Amino acid sequence: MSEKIKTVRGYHRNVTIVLGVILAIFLLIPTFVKNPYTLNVFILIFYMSTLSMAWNLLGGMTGQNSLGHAAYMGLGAYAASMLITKAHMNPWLSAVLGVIIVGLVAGVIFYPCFILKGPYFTLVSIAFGEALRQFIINSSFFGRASGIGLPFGRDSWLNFRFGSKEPYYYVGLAMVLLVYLIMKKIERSRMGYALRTIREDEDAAAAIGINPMKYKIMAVVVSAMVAGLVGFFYASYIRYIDPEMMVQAKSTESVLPAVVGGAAFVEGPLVGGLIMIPLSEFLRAKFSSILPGINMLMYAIVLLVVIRFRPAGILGWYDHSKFKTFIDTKILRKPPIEVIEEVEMMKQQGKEA
Amino acid sequence: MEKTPIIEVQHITKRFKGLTAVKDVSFSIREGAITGMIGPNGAGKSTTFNMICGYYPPTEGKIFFRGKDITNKKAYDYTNMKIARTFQIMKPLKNLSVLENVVASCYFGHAAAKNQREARERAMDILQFTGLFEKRHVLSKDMGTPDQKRLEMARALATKPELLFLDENMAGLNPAETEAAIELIREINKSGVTIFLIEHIMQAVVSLCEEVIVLHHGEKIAEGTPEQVMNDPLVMEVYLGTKGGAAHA
Repeated sequence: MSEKIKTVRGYHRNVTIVLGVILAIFLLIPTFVKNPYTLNVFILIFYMSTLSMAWNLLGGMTGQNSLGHAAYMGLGAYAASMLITKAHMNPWLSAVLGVIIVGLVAGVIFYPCFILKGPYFTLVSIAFGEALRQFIINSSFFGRASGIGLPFGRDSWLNFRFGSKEPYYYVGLAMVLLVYLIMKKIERSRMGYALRTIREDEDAAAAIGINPMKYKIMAVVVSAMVAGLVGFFYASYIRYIDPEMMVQAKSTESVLPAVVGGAAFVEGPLVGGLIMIPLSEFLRAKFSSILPGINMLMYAIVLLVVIRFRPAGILGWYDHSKFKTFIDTKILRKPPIEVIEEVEMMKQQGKEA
Repeated sequence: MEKTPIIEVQHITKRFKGLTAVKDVSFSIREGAITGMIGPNGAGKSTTFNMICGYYPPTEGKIFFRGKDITNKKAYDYTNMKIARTFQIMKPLKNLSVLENVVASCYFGHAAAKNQREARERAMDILQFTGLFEKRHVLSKDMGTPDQKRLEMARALATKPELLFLDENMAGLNPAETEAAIELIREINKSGVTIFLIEHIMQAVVSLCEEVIVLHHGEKIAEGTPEQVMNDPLVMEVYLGTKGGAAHA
């Protein structure tokens, strides 16, 4: 018996070590990498992966494919920027308010839209994004097409502005981690089970007592709020926003890391983002000067290959691969799942006794 | 004195545009019993079933649960009233494991689990009960029909119902599997759950049900014990198609 407990403990320890090492690498990168361009790529990975996690809550977990996430991100960026520039609010406070505004707007707009299912929901999400962009382009209050610039000044944590990229790197990393933990928590909660049941079959969901409408709204609100948070980060980092950030192509970009990484997994957007964004940046840096547009062509080819041969994404393939078996048994020394269950049961009985 | 029936259906009619699928059907389900509904294809069994389960409301008529009008209740309110159902065409959560399928159900209904530990413990118990325990880590889409039918029942049971609706839970099973399913349904009934089922397989209906309702062309043509129904001349004529012939289906 104690042998089993030992192996399970060992496995948990190994997982912690591996995760700790990965985290340590990311924490140490700015100490060794001083090149601003490389740091910029990492920051891009952080916020695009976060945006993709937001999409994944709705697209991957709930099965509602949205193509309007750039609009939520833009809405968050605009809400926060307006509060900073017009109301002279502290950026951190404006981030909180901005995120709440995005959640409210998304909830109110999508409440009637969820009567629509499947592709029709997707169409509405596209229309929503475009309508919002057009509204901002035509509103002088929001600075029309010329956008809004955030004030520059001395480096300050209070005002969240820095000349160097390092602080943004760490804030971006913290944002990814925070959102990842939230998503992981949601996945294991009642809401996560409700969302996945709705994804698989709405009638089956209703039959066990899930109100599909209620949970879809919850998903869209949380998803939009996270996208809004990314918008705030983007605005603070770039320090200039314009309606171009809400174009359709940007929404599509938010889908790619999740789909390439594996939309069925909370980790999918992280894996996809870590692969696709450096690839896209590398292709742009290396090839776009040779022949304009060739980088996009190559990017498209990579995407087509992944979708053609690994439709469940990289993690979808990994989950059933020999590679995973190898890592689990040889490196993490994972005991059989029955043993883990047995030990968990014993722990609970110990607690109850 | 007669107890109030757990379900009382009063004169329900369902019209789909011009087609009347169910016409003026009334019956009641006795608490604690197993009641069955039979009828040839297109008799309106599934339509009746779906109306009672809140999948869609009847065009006319009323449905009562323990004397309370539930005619216009939504499907997702039913587990809160301690009623659960299964689907004729199985709707397993395909990309989730058998365990996760049942855990999902444990989180909802009148006795929803408060946390993951409680949900998992209850799911394990139900998997033991329904004989799916050994397959708990299999993806539900990778299982065969008999196990998927069992999973349908397990998911319904996980909401702790007092009344269980089974929609052709034995269709597509071979005789041995049918026997096992009958056994399971008996066990569920013994644990205090009232059961209402639709079935094609006559063997199941005869051996399980205490009361049988027969539908034909959307109308109720007979009800009573299996023996009474089987010997009803009208039932023999329209359902079995032979005069006094052996009961087979």
